[in-house]
Amino acid sequence: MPRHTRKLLVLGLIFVLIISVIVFLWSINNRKRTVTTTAKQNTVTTTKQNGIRITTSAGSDKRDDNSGTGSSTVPTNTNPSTPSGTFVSNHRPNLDGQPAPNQMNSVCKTTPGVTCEIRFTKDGQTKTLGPSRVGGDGYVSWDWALQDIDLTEGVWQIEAIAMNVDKTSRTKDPVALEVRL
Amino acid sequence: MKKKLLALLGLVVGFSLIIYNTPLTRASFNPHNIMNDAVFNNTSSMSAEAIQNFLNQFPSSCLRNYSAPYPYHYFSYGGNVSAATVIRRAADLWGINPQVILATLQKESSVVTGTASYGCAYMNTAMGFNCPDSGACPVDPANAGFSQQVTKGSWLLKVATERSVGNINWDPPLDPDDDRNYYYSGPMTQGYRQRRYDAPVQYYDGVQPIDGQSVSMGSGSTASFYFYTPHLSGNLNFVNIFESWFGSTQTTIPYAWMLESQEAYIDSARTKPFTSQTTVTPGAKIYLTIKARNIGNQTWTPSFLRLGTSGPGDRLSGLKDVSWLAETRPTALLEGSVGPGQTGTFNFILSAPGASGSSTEYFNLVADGHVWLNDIGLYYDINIVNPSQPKSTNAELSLDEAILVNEHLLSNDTQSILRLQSDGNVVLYRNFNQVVWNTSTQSTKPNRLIMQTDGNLVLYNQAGTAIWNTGTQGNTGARLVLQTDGNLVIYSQANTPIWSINKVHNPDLLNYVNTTLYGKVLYPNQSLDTADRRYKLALQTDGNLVVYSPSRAIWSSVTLGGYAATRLALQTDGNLVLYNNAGQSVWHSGTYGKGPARLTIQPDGNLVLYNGLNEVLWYSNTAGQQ
Repeated sequence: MPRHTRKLLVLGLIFVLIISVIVFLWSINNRKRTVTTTAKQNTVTTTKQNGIRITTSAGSDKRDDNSGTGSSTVPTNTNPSTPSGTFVSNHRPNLDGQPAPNQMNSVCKTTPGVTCEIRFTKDGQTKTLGPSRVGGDGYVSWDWALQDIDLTEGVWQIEAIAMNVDKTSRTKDPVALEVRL
Repeated sequence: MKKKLLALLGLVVGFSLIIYNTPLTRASFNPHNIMNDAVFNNTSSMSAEAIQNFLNQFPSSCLRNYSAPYPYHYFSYGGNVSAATVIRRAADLWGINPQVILATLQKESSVVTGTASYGCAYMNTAMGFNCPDSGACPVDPANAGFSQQVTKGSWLLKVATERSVGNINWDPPLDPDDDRNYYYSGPMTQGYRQRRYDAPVQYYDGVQPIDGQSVSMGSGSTASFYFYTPHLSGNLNFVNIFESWFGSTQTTIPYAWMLESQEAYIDSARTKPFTSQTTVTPGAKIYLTIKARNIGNQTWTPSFLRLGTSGPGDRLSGLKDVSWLAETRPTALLEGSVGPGQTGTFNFILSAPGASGSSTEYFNLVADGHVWLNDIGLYYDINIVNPSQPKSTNAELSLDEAILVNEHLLSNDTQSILRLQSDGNVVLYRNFNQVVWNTSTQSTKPNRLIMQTDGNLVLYNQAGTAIWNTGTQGNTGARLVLQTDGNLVIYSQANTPIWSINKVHNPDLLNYVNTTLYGKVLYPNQSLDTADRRYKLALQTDGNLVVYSPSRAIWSSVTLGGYAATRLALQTDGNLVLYNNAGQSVWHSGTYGKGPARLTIQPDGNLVLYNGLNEVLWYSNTAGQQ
């Protein structure tokens, strides 16, 4: 092999190596991450945004529940079905995680393909989880911490809002979120 | 899930037919505990043959002669078999009660009775599986057909039940698919849970909104049913169907009962009530009626369901009447048939013996040839007094007056009674059964408690020996008074108190204490009562926590059999919890983290849990029930 060609080959390998390292570092540091688990007849997608883990599931044979149709496309003139689900896993968390954890799970179940958000309001302040797109199985699930959306001490009213372009459906949680120090 | 959209006429006709064909019972629907998991997981409740026989009783059933592919597992199906075999197979595949499948099929599409206006048009979506919560149910080829609907719908109910109680490893061996990969997004029971094995562990308080109400997920199957049908009405319908067909959703016990009401009279016309304070003459008759609710899962008939003497069972009774069926069987069920959830009647007569004294007789229901039912501790305490003997129903003793064995003083408000018991102990009771004070002289052979002319109150035994006294001699003319404030006092002739048990109670305070439980524990045989004693919350010896109105039981925790509670704890965290002997929670109010709280039985009959701000945390929803 000519010396010039060998030099080009070595430089090429070094270039590929550097690019690989950059891609690797980018992938572990990037704040948005997607992991797709595909098991037999079951597809669950997990995304991470701003520390919040978002889980949805595409249409599958082992369906998530009876609210989804398996389709994630929805006509723009369709009203989303009234949201339901576990809007907060614990209504009395502690900010410092003691004695009750400050980590939470929230689920919104509505029409596949629309977006849903969980809205927390207190004294004119509003904090939101999402909006996130609902998967084909009719739910979006968030694993999050109080600090992720800057929830402070106090009593926050909870409302889930499903949105499809300009059409919305809402459900209030009759029990408020009482954040304690 | 919603049923299919029907034409208005069809809906009206169909609903009428469903009502006509479904036995109507008062479902004991508790939105926080739709079904006990032991019932949900009772796979052996019906064989395929029993399911077929059950279907055969409905002439219009869509399933009695229906055949469908045999489900090998979730994805694979074989040649045609009967619908009963398909249901039985689904029960085996996932470990689910086939009765749950039958009730779900009826709830979703009425195919069990086949009495809806649309007949059997919805066999392809029979379990409502893959049907959205709103709108029409699409016929998806991947899920259509009776076998797929039953198999997949049952799977969904089961996996949700397992995940909601924290079991992330449920993976039945008959199914080749790895169910651990399934991401569960439904309601959770209280505790640390994962939605899937690789999802974060989160703490769940087990509470979530259903139709605008906050609902506690009291069991895994409760969470599962709300996952399957996220509405109260649909699940009420399910419980109605299940209870009318198979009995309680809370127990797998075949024969169990709960007292609805009891009446006792001293005349055959049943106009003069008999109470625990009533004395009767020797040979008198007492006419009784017991209303008992069938909370087991078997139907009662008079051929075997009877009232028997108990404590111990089949004890020969001193109160036997000539009307009894046998020495130890006062009566049988009055009605021809009482199904699960329905109420039966037992009329019988007790006959007082010929001698004076006191007699206590215990009774229980017995399914002759099967088993004694759960013993709720039903008894009657009868005082027989010969009119020829002096009787002590006054509130005072003076000047050599005495009460003899089994006689008593009764306060003028009838709330306190001082009795010389046959065991030798002199006991002051309040509210008929609460011991306030006693002389600790049991195991003696008593003769009389006498207020001597010297002012000393003395208890003598049969040998004439004084075994207890107040030491108040030297007060000639003194008298003993059982007061309406509950205190027992000896007054001198000058009306000066010279001795008392010092147990004064304020009637209002008494009521206040009895109506409310503050961070304490209620044990069997203890109760909370309303001030007027019309309503009562009782933790029974059978482990059931029951609210009684003046006439019947209006709410219960249905903690019987293997779920019998032995204490009710109002915890400092605000949760009201029933624990069994093993210290396991068998029922709770789902109010964790909201304490401290107080539990009160209100004058309107509602049992309410309040927090420190007087906000309602939980209630039995029994206000105004008679």
